[in-house]
Amino acid sequence: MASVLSGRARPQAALTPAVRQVVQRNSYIAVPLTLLVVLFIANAIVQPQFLSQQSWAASMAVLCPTVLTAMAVTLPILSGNGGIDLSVGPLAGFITVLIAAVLVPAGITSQVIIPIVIAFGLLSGAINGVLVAYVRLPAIIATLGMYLFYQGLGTEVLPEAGGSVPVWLTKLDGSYGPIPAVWVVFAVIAVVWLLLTRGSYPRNLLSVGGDERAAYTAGVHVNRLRVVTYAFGGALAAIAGLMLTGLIQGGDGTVGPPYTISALTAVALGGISLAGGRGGLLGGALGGAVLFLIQELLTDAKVSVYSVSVVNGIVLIAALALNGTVEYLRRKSAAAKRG
Amino acid sequence: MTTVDVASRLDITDLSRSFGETKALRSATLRVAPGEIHSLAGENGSGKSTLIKILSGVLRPDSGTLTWEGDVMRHLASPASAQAMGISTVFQETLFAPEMTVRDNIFLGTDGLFRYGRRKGAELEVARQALSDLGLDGLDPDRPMWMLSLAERQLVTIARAIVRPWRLLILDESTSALDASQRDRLFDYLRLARSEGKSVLFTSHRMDEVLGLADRITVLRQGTTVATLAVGEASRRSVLGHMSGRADTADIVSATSAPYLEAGGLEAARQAAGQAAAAGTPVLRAEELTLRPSSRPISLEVRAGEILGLAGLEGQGQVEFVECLSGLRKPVSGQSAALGANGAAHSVRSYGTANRLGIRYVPRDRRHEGLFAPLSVFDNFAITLWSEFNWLGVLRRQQVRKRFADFSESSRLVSASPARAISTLSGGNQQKILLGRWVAMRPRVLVVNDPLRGVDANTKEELYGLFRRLAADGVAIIYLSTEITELLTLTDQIAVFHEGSVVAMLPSETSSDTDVVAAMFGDEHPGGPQQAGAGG
Amino acid sequence: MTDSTPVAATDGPPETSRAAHQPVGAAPRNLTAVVTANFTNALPYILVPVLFILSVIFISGYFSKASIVSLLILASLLGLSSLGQTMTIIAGGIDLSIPAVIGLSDIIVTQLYYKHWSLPVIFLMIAALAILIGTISAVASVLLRVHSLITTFGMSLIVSGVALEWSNGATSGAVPGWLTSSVSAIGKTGPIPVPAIIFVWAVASVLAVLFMNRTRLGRETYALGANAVAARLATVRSTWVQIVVFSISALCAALVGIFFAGYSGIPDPTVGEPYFFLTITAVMIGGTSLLGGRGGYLRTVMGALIVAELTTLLVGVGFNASFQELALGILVILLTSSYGRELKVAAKI
Repeated sequence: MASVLSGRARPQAALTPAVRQVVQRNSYIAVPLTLLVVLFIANAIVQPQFLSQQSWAASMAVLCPTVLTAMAVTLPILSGNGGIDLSVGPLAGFITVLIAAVLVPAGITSQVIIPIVIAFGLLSGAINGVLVAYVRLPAIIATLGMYLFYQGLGTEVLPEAGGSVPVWLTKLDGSYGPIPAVWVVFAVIAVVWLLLTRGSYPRNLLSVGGDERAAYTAGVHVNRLRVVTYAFGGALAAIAGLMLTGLIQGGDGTVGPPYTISALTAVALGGISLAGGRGGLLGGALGGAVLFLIQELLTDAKVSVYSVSVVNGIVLIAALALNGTVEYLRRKSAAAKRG
Repeated sequence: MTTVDVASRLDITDLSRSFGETKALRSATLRVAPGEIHSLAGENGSGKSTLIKILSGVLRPDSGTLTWEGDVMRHLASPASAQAMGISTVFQETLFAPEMTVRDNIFLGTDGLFRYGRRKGAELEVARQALSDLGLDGLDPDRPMWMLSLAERQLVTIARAIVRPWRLLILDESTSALDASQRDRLFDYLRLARSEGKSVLFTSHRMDEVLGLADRITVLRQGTTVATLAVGEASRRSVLGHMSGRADTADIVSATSAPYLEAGGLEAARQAAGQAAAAGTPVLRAEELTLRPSSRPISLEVRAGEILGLAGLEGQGQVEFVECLSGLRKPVSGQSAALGANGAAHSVRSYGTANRLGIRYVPRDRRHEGLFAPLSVFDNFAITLWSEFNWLGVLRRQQVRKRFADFSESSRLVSASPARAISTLSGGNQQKILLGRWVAMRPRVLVVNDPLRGVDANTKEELYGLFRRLAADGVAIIYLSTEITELLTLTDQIAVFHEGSVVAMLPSETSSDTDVVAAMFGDEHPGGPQQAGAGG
Repeated sequence: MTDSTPVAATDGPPETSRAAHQPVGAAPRNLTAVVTANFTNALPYILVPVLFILSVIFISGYFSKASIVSLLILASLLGLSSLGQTMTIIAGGIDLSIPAVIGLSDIIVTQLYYKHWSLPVIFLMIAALAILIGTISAVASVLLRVHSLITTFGMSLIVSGVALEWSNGATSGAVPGWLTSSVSAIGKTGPIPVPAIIFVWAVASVLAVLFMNRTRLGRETYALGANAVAARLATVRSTWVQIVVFSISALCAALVGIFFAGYSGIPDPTVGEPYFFLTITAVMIGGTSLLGGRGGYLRTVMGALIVAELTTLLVGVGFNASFQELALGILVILLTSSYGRELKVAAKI
């Protein structure tokens, strides 16, 4: 019987199957990981205080919203079929308004604020999910509508930046007793992360992103998965808003849009394809970290504020070029093997 | 086995379904018994795919009832519920997530949205067993799908269907990418499943498969069940007769890929074309063309008016050869060259060069490589012609419209407004347009990659006529096909591929199915051992 | 993703998007489906006069030359910005660098004219820059094998950074008087009491529609957006098409930047920012699908008019800026829900 499989030796055969699979699935982070290491070293060289304890804590506080919004956008993008969430920035911005101008003045205690914020994020995301999955609007339009909605709502409820912030939130770049506040936050994020990266969810998400028809006919509840995905994205964006409130020490409906831009940049830097089906939360997080480090490096090197934008753009295109080349080579070598 | 009521596993009565203003199904009736392999036969547009989508839970019928193992229902809620009921479907289009592994694709959809703790070891065993049943013993389940060949991918989707507990397996044209040996292995598996009491429902355009595998055949025509036959009472002629509704059996016979034995028009036409070929000047030459590092170089010449067939099991190099000739692929060494009137050779270096030299390529996959789905029939036809018919970029529409009218006539395209969306045409007519796009460019060499796959018998007949007329006009045609009888009927000679090179050049007129198959398996001496169920 | 396994033709007409389905010769079986499809297809054309009538009803003094001209100026600015966007979307891409190019163009005109450069030279320079930006975006998308959403996004970061750097807080600039008059509600074009920008838009619209329907590049654009793989095989000049449509997009953006300069007279690199999403909105509301391969500029003209009318209506009934944004967001979702819906997964099989 003619077999289409040739008997040529494969160099990867040396690695055990489990390791090989992990490497294959996560190979998309090669470029962002390299960038991260390079930038980390560069930052340490240009500004030695970068590695100090206080600087670390402050960095983390600024880093958090960027990384969280990047992760928030990563999920819908992974779900494929043009999935995206433009509303992450304005949602985060609106959360600052919600906390500082609505919840705190109403006397709601801190312990209740956090669940409310997360629930709000889940709900907002779920609305996006329903619009995309059931009403079947193109994601870019549905989330654009929500973007405009939150922008308008935020500046309507709180025309001038201000409002009051609970004491514990201002301590985000400090510590609660011996434990730095940021570690508590990270713990929360870690829990969410584990929930989303273990078990059947990531497999189902990536298969829907790979080909939703394959997933659908195989029995995956595609619509349900999409709604859940956008809901989790919304929750992450809401947590970003929580961090942001502590960072800007108040509420401000206009701080949102730049975070949508940085989130999209971070996703591209993170090696994640806009077409979906390939990548993971790790990519989004790394992309956000890379972006942050670029920002830091440029500020430390006393580069003009406008050039930051230019550099972001150039780095973005350079990262794309790298990702594209890596991907192309990978496919070409496999096609050659396939014959 | 008789056609009288048998205890049924699946019972469909009077199913109907419309899309917009078109009625895809009017009154479909079907009964599948336990321990039976049932074939669903019908031309394109007969409603087969719609019926299968209803059975698999993708669509809901407008009216009618479904009875599954005694339970009457109006519809199936979703593919997930169909699977839960024990109905596994393999769709026409090979659906898979390219970045995920074979194993993940096989078990796709078997776990809920948030389930933790996966039994990897058990899964691996089951996956290996399924792959082995289908003949893919050596395939590593942890390989990502995008690395696999077309046939491997199709087999993986079949594996996906069989690892779930199933009592009815539905296969919609699921052998399209498989070669003869893979198909045989699959059929053995299906027969084994039948002996265990399971049921299979399959569709196929290949009469040999239908007659060789099925116990009973249900024929659909224009959305209605017109006949249910036991295989003992059925013949190629009767099935095709029901499918096309044509009483004239002579028409039916000639419309099939029946062997070259029938007398009359076909023979004469081919002889005439053959004579023209003998006289024609060489227009294309493969010079020591090596497709793979380990394969022998290919050298052959194609003449004006000649139809050269390319045959071979899947992955033996015929597709790569076709791609090299069209400039889509660079050979490992050697080259292909177009020969001018004075004998000057122009090397084919790229797709653009090939087109400039008059070498036109018709791709295999209509849906992904040919059709512009949202555009009109005319736009789909004219897209290649604008390069010729423009004045400083402005379109000269009158002349292109004329070419369209000419082509419509010569290919007997169903007359309709060219402004229609191409998606409203049947598959056969779509294929005509996609061929027309190149034929209207008046090519010197036409390279076609399995153009009549999945096309109904009537359209095939019309297009065979078109190819023969083109050859008579002096066009050289390189015709790759996976159906041996088609090659024997249509071409002048057949180049058989094996392991990346041509192992035999068989004259179509005097060769038999067996000769071709033997060569496909690498036997360079025609007249070798019979291969059961292969080709024909 | 699916591979290219040869597929038998679809059995009967598949369930295409409702708007695209044309009735076949024989009597339609399902009249409601036909009527609905045609209605949703025509909705943008219907909305333009409907919204106008609503505005006349709810806003006193709306039916005056001044307000109508103002409306048309607004629509012209948006319409011109969206001209190139329409083409890039039909080609299967998108252009997010339009606001950045508007800003850059605004800066260049105001600052260089202030420094007494000659106008033709300024315009040539802007045009050259625009073509350069468009070409880089297109070539980058092709070479990097990445969707133009990201490459134009990157270009927008670079261009806006350059524009900001160039202007660097400068507040002085100048523009010729006729330019200001071309975007003014009381401006004239020769003897006709209508500002020049409206004529420019009208001419550009005609050219755009002719380009898309009557030229080889226009048809190639549709083919590219409909099926990039098939386009390449059909000898469509994919890279060239992208270079042309992205250059046109940048040129239109540059033109709008020049008009904006006429509007305010001072250099403002951020003047294009509201158009980051408005061009996409205008295209989508007009009914051109983001999927590519379908639609046309006439629809975007309707879309621009609708957006302009909506904005004017919202301002007219007393909505402040925040409320306008909020309302616009909801309206975008509502409108697209009626005629911009995508197919169900089941229908794509």
